[in-house]
Amino acid sequence: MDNNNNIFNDRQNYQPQQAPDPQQQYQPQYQQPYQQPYQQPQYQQPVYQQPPYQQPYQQPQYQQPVYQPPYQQPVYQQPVYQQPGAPQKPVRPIDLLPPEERSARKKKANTLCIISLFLHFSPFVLVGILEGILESLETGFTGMSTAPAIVQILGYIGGGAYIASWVFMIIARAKYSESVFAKVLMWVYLGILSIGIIGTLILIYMCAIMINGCH
Amino acid sequence: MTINIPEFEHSPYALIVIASVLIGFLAAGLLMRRFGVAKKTILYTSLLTLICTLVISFMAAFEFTGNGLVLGFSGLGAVVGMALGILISGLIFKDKAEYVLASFAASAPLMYALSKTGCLLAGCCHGKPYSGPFAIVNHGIHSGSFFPAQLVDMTVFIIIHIIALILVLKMKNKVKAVYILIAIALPARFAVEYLRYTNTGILDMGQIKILIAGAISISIVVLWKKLLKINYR
Repeated sequence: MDNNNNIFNDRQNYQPQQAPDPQQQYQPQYQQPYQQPYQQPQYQQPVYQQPPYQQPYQQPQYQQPVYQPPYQQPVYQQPVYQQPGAPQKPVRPIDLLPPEERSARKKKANTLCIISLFLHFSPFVLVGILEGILESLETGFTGMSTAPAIVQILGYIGGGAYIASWVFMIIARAKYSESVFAKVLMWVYLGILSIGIIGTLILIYMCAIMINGCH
Repeated sequence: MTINIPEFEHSPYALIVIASVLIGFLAAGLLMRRFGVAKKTILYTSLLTLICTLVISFMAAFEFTGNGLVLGFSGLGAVVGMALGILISGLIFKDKAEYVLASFAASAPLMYALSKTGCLLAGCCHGKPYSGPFAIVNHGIHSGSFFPAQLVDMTVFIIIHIIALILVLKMKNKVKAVYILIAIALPARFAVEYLRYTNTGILDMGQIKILIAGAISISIVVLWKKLLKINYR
């Protein structure tokens, strides 16, 4: 029986291993030197380190000493109550002008008003002249042929002067609204106009009564 | 059917004419307020235009004859006076002048139509003799049966006033609206003149006066437009 378990069985097969010949074994292998692949040099940005933050120099601020007024006993002031609805006087643009300009404006307004006043009353003077012409007609001083034309022309001049007087007054009111003269003139003219209209109406009614009375 | 006008002890003519002028000015003022014209401009323009209207209307009727002075108010003179008043105040204020003109132009036909009530009651400006329907029978100085010329005048000018209001409120170009208004009102007034008892022919003195007043008014409007440099694109 073949006992393979015998540990000496291996001796038969045992062939001592020869030590390798160093000459044979040593075969220097020529190896190409390792070349690393070309790599482009990477530019690295320099990192600048910021200098440590330094607070700017601050001048020492001078602090004024707090003035404390001496204690005063409070004086009781009566509160001013504004009347409800009482208009506050507004500041007009004219008040802001220098006094020289204001007086110049006043002068111009007065000139306009005086021209207006002269023109307003000139028709009354013309009516006087007209009456004189009519009287002279009765006495036969002026010829009948020229009188109607003169009366007509005087009527037109009077009417034109009356309109011009209103125009000058309104220019003064519009451009120099602060002028008191112009304001007074306007109310005087309006008064004369209303009296004239009422007077004319009364005259018409009186004439009608007289005519009816004649019947 | 006839319309009988009673004889008045005191003629209401003057009162009605003054009242119609004031109502017309009030209407013009309201229109100006609607257009946003300043209060100061409205006040002084109305005042100056009123003076010009009254004075020129008076001057146009003012006549000196061998029998004495003839005094009264002329409607055509009033139109010229109104145009002159608007021109002068436009030059003084230069504040929305085209709106001021349009407002007065729209209210002028109303003034004229209302003042015709005075004529109707006083019996003046009456029509030619007529006895058909709607004949006006007057008593007193102008006694007789006449064609209702004053009623036709009133109706025509009330219609013109309504057209004027529409034109002035709807049209952007106010000057053009005024020109259209003159183009309507002038021929209408010219045609109505044929119905009056004073008419003697196709082109009598009354119609020549209308043409002269119309020409003066148009010239004033053209002059006003040039002086105030009002241009519409």
